[in-house]
Amino acid sequence: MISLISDENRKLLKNRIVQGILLLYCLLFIYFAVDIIFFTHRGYDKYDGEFAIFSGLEAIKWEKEQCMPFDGKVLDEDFLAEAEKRFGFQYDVCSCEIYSVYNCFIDRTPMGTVYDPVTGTATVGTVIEGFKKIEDVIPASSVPALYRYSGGYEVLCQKLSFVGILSVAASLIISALVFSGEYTAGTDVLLLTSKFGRSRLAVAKTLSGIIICTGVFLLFSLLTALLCFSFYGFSGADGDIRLSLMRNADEITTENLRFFGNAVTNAEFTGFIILVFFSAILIVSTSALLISALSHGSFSALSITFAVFSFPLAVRAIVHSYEYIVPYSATDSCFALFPVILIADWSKTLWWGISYNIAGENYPYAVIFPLIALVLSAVFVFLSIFAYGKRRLRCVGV
Amino acid sequence: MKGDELVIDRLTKNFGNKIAVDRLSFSFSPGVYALLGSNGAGKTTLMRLICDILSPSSGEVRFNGREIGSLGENYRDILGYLPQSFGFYPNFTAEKFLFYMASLKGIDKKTAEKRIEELLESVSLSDEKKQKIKTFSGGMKQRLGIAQAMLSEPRVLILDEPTAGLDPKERVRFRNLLSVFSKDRIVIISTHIVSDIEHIADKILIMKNGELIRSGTAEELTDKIKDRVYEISTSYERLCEIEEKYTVININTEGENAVIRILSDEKPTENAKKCEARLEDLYLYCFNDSGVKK
Repeated sequence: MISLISDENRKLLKNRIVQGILLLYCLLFIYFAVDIIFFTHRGYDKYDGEFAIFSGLEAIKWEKEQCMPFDGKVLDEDFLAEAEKRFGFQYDVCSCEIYSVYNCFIDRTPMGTVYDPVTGTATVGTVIEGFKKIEDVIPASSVPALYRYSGGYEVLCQKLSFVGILSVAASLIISALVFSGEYTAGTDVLLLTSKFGRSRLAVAKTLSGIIICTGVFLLFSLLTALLCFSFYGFSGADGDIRLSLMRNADEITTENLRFFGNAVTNAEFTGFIILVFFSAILIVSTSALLISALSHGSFSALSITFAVFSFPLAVRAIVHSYEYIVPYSATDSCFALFPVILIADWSKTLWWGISYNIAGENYPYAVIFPLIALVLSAVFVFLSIFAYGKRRLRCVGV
Repeated sequence: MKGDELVIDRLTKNFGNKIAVDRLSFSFSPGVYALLGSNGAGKTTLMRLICDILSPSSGEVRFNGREIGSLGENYRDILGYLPQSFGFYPNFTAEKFLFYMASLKGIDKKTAEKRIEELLESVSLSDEKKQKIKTFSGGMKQRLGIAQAMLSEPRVLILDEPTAGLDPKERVRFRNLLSVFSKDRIVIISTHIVSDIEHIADKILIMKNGELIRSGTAEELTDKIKDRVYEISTSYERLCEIEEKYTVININTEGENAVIRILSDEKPTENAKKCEARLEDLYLYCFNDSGVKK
C-alpha cells in the first residue's frame, strides 16, 4: 500500500496543473522573502511619540500612524486613568493591555468606521482621525508600561493566512483531479485491471490526494516560518495576541473586552492558524475527492467542485453584510469558521473573525472545528472509496 | 501439467435496451484465440467482461472453475490487458510508465527492471525509453501498451486491437513476439485485421450482434466457404454489374481487364475460377449482408 501511495504521489506531482500550483507556491514564497527583506523588515525604526516614550529602544513601524512598539513605556496618566475607570484594568498586572485600551478608542470596522466609546457613537472616518482623537483626549503620561515585541509572529501570521488560503484553493483543484484526471486521460482502464482492486486503489488515491494537499501546506508553512524567524527571531512566543499582534488586537473591540479571560499567546495563535487551515484543507480536499470519484472527467469534476464551493460564498456575502447591522453572533462565528468560506473570502474581516473567535467567547469553536472537519473528512473519504470501488467503466465500442 | 481454463458461461451484457453480448458461452484453454467481428459486434464488451472491468447482466466468467469476481486480486494477478482505447501519462517516460505499471501489478523492482528491459527491446522502444510519452507517435504508444500488458507475464492475456497503428514491420514483429509468448498461456486477441491472426490464432471466434456465430480453426472456418470463392477476369465496364450482384473481396488490374475475387454460392460465370478460401473471405461472407445468400 505504501508503494502504491508513493506511486500515486509521484504521478500527481508530475501533473502539469499540480506543477503549476507548486510554482504558484514558490512565487508566493519569493514574494514573502522580498517583502520581508526589502519592506517589512526594513520597517524597524526608532520611534518616539507623545503618547508613549520608547526610551532609546526600537519600535517596528507598521504604517506611518501605527507602530508596533516593544520595550517601550506609556506615559499618559489620563489615558491610563480613563482606561481604568472604564474597563477596570490593572496595568501593573499586564502593561500590554494598555495597547488594547488604546485600541478601544478606535474601534474600527473594515469600512473605516470610528467608534467613540465616550459618546457611544460611530462615525465614518479614518484610522488617523481615531488616533487624533486619542491624542486630543489624552495628554502625556508618566506611567511606564512595557510593550512586547512580536514582530516575527505578526508577520508570520499574516503570511500564513496567504499560504493557507492558497492551500485551500489548491487542494480543491488537486483533489478534484485525483480520480477524474484518470477518466479524462483514459488511464482508468489500466488501473482497474491492475493487481490491486478498486477499493485499494481508491484508498491509495485518496490518501495520496490528502498527503499532497496537506503536505504542501505544511511544507510552505514551515518554510515561511523559517523565513520569518530567521529575520525576526523567535522572541515573543509567549506574548498575548490581543496586545502584541497589532492587527489581531484591532479586532478586540470594546464589545469584546469581556472575553479577555481567554488569553492566547502568539505561539498558540500561530498554531491555531495552522490547525484551522489544516482542517479546512482536509475537509475541502476530501469533499473534492468525493466529487472527483463520482465525476466522468476533469472538467465536470472541477466545474462541480467550484460550483459547490462558491455557493457558500454567496451565502457568506449575505451574512457578511448582516454583520454590520447586528453584533457578531455565535452562529455567525461558527459559520465564519466553515472552510468553504475561507477559500473565497479574501477579506481580512473574515480572517480576523477567526482570530477573534479563537480569542473571544467562541474560543471552543476553534477546537471543535478541526474535530468536525476530521469527522466529515472521514465520511468523505469513505464515500470516495465506496464510489470508486463500486464504479464500473462505461463501455466503449458498443 | 494441466493447463488453465477460462470459461464464459451464457454471458450476457445489456446497456439499457442494447444487448452488447448475448448468452455467449465458450471455453478457453492455453492457446491463441482471435475474436473477429465488425464494429459494435461486442468484442470490446466481451473482453472487458473477461477482465472483470464490467459486470455481466447475467452469466459468469470462471477461471479454473472459480468465478473471477470471487478470485479478485488472484485473478488480476494473472491477467494482462491491452485496452482498445486508453490513455497514458504524457509526462512519464516510457521506462517510468512501465515501472509504474509494474508497481500496480505488484512486481518487485528487481524483477521489473529486467522485465522492462526485455519488453522494451521486444517492442523496439529501447532507444526511446527515456523519452516522454507525449513525444511518442500512435504506433509507439501502442507498442508501449503491448509491453505493459505483457509485463507481469500473465497467464491470461487479452489484447483489444493490438495491431492498430502499427506499421507492417512492427505487426510482423508483434506476431512473432506473441507466438513465443503464448506458450502455455491463454491469449485472446480482438481485431479487424484478419491477416494478423490468420497465422498465429489457434482458434477464431466470430462475433456478430453480440452473439458468437462461428468458432474453430482457420481451416475449419474457411472450409465452410471453400467452394464459394471465385476469381473472374472481366472488363471494367462489367465491374459495376458484378459488384451489384456479388460480394467483391478484391479487385486487381491485369492489362485492360480487372481480376475480381468474389464470393458466390454458385459459379458466377463460365470463365470463373474457383479459389482457395481465406479467412478474409469468410469475414466478408459473414459480415456482408448483400450479394451472398448465407
